[in-house]
Amino acid sequence: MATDTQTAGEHGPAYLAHHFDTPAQQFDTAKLAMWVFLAQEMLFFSGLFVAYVVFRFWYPTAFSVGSHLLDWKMGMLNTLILLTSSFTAAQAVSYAQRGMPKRVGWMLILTILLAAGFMVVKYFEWNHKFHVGFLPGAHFKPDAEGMVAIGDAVKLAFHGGGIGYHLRTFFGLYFVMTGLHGLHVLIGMGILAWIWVRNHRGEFSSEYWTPIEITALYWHLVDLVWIFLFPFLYLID
Amino acid sequence: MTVKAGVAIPGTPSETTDEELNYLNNKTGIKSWLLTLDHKRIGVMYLWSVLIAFLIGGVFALLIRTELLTPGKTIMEADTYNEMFTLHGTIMVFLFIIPAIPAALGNFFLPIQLGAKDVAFPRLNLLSYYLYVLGSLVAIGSIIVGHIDTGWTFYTPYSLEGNSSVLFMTGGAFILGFSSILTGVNFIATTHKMRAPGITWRRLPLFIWSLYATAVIQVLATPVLAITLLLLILEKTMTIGIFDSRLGGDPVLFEHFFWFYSHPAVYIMILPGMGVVNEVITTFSHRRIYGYMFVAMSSVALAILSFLVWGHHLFAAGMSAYATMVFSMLTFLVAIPSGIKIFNWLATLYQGSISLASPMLYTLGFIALFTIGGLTGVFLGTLALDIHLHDTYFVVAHFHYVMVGGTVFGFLSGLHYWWPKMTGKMYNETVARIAFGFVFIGFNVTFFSQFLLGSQGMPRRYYDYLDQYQPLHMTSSGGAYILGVGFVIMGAMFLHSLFKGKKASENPWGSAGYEWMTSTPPHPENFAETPVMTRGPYDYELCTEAELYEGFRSELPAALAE
Amino acid sequence: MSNATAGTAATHRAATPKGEHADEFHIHPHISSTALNAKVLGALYFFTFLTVLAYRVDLGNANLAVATLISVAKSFLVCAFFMHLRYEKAFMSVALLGGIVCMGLFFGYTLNDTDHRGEANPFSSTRYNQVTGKYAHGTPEWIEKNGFVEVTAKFDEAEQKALEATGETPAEAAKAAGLPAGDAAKAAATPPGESAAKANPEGAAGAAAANGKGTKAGSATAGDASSDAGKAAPDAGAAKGGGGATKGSAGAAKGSAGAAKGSGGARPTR
Repeated sequence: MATDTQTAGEHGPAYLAHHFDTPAQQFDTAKLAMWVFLAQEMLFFSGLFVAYVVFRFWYPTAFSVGSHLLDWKMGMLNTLILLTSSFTAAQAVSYAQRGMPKRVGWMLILTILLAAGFMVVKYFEWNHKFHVGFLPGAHFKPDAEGMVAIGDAVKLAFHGGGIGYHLRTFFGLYFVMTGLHGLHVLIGMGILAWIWVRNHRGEFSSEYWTPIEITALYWHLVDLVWIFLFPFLYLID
Repeated sequence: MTVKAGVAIPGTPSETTDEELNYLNNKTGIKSWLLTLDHKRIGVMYLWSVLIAFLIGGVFALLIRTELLTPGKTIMEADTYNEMFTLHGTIMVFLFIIPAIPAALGNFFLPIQLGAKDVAFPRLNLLSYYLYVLGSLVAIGSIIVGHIDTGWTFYTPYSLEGNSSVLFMTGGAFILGFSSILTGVNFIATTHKMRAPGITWRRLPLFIWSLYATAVIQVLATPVLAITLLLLILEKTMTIGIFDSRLGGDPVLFEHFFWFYSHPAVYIMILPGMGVVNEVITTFSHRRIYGYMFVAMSSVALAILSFLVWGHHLFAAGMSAYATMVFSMLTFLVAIPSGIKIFNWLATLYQGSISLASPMLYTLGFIALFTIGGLTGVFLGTLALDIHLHDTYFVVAHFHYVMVGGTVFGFLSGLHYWWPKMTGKMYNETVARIAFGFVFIGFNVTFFSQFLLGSQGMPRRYYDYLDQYQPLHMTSSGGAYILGVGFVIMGAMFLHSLFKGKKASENPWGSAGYEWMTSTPPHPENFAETPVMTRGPYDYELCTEAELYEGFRSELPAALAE
Repeated sequence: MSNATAGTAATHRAATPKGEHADEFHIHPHISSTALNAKVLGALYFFTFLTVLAYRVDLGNANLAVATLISVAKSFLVCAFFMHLRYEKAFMSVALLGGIVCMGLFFGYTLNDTDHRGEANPFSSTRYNQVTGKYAHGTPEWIEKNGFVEVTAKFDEAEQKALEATGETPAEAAKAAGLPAGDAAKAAATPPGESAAKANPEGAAGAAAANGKGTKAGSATAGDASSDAGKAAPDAGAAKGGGGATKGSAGAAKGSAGAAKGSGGARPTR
């Protein structure tokens, strides 16, 4: 810290910032702030969920048809992938607390790989949507293949009958919600990679693992958002 | 600008040698300011930045009032006028009022009042400052890109039309939002975890309570602004169909989203001002605050209520009648905690030994003007009356009474109050009182006439108006010039103090507050040794006059060292 | 603390550590065992399959509620165990709850509006029908029974086909055309009249034009010019709210929303 007026050795361990008295105080402060930040993240996503609920109640048919145009199997696969990655992130914290940096490293790598797997599945989903013209809002112009898919979905949808002008609203929300969530996944991958590097350098021990725990908390939030996105987008009857 | 002015203080080496160590002279050079992690220096940088924003916004305000001197064109075209009031609104709201007290004065005094060495996350604090700078530059960049005339609210569908300047302005506000969130997270963590021994929740200075309530709103409401502006940007660039009714979206939904943030934001603006008032009013009446827990809890109550009432901005927007009724009823609840504060302040004054120094004048101004602003808010929350008053000058006058009469007066009160502690210099009290006279009278002339204009039906934001409104418009403009003169006098006074002011003592006002217990200007780590507080910040009955004015430090450490 | 006059007292850091952290130099964390984490993961997998299963069974309106409940249960597991909330100080849960409460307010009050949009009377939930000029109860069931929209347009099969090709359902066309939210169900039986797809852009364009006029005539910015436009051009015969529309669509001047509804609502009779 630039304003340090004393050497680290006099004050405590090197990782203890000058303005904290004890490592426990520093650890608790970081965790508390992270939870406050998570509350912020929840409110950030809540805007999208409010828009979702409003339009779902207004345009039930379109949302039903729209959800049948998504592949719930892919959605479920992604759910399982993210849940597993949450597990590995939690394991990384447990191993860090026990002072097992090698295992922490492996758990972080597994988490990053699972996150990458999630993004790959997402890529295929998005790519297909682009391909058949299921684009958000004004760009919603299904091609022949898309029209056939819509026809099939309509048979499954809960109102039956028409196709739904407001499919474009559904896809507008779909892309924004999954897009912002995907962005959070990408950011999370970046942070996890950085934490892996720091872990590799041997910065963490059973005395100090705050950044791992903070990152894991963030990662669990990304998982939480998807836990709601999956049934809301893919599983509308 | 920011840096130069700050460096100018410890600049001369002869001064630094015989002064004791403080945050200004412990390091020198531009880099020591730009990369500082010291919350006090970041607070000073914030202070200069918000003052620059205030200057720019103020110039726009004067131009607007000049244009409105006469019906039709006075000095500018209608399009320029539309751009002017938009810039005035956005700059004043996002660049000045929201960060003014929490980020500038709060950053400086929150850790000191807590007896902490710094905020919990100094690097996050610096990041938040640079996000503020970046956001401000992007927002002001909208002037270069094109002509922004949406008003500060960016309502759809109008903001979806037109050029890309809206993208810059909303993008800037988006970045500023993150700056605000990070400050909020930092303050919450600092208040919870960094308090010095002896500072219990019941001894927390009320300025901290109000900053804490503010931080809660910043953290819980600002992200909704972020998502709103993000959706607006996506809507404008990619037409995703959420706010665009042509695609099945709902423009009123934008207003819900926008005001879910922007109404609580009103409390982000006013609560810190109330916090300053608590500090100043106790100091200058030398009395314990009346009903400490009531005042503290009313801040928290206002923070909670702020989330319940946003719909009163949408009474005329086509919102459902059911929702308007609910929002109208909830809006009246806000008057309760506000009233508690006003009555407690008045009760604090009762039988106090009041000195009418300039900070106190601004605080008394705050109480008077905020009362007017608050009560006219009740008018506007009344459903039937609002249909008549909606979007008229009455609304403009109401929120200027709350925002300028409240927040800006609170900010000025705090600036006068803490100036000696921040800079180590005194200012000319006589000039400060003269400036107050100009500001107070100018303000009332400007905005009281707007209450009358509004009740007669003059719509807000109009370039042109009927002849019958001209006398009141001219009065209002005249008041604006008086206000401007007041600010020029005040600015000159502060600059004079900065370069030629007398050296300030440790506790020039004789306050019992914690921040006055440290040296002036404060030590780089706020207190040379971690303090142990043995009394509350308002316990005047526990202090003798000598202790208040001559300081606590000399005798006590020795007494407790054993 | 007995020294009443004392303001501050210097202490040596090592001798007197800070207040509530007195004996907390070392961190004593809760360490979750691998077995526990694995059990939680198993439960999360189970709930994922359950939610898919629930989706395959038709529960009518309960589907959304069931899906939400299962998601809440999953979130609870993640928060309590993976995020260690069970073992943390109460403040962390308070922060989480604060966020949830705010989200609840956001949902509740916004839906309070969108679910009742267009109702003339908040107590009886009646809506004004611009087609018939009548008031009626707004609940879909009531409309289903008593009829809300008078069918005045002749059903045109060719037009219906054309509509389906462009992606219209009668229900949603009616909805988009400005009928209040609750009517969508009933409107399924209503001939679409004018395609909302066509009507909406027109309406919006009209509104944009109105906005433009408002801006130029009165130089008001349309930003939040709901009543501005009305006030700006009183001579144009536009009563406040525009075109004699009801309060529900008083947004006419506001922009495309109100106007689209206004024009759409007037059109189905064609």
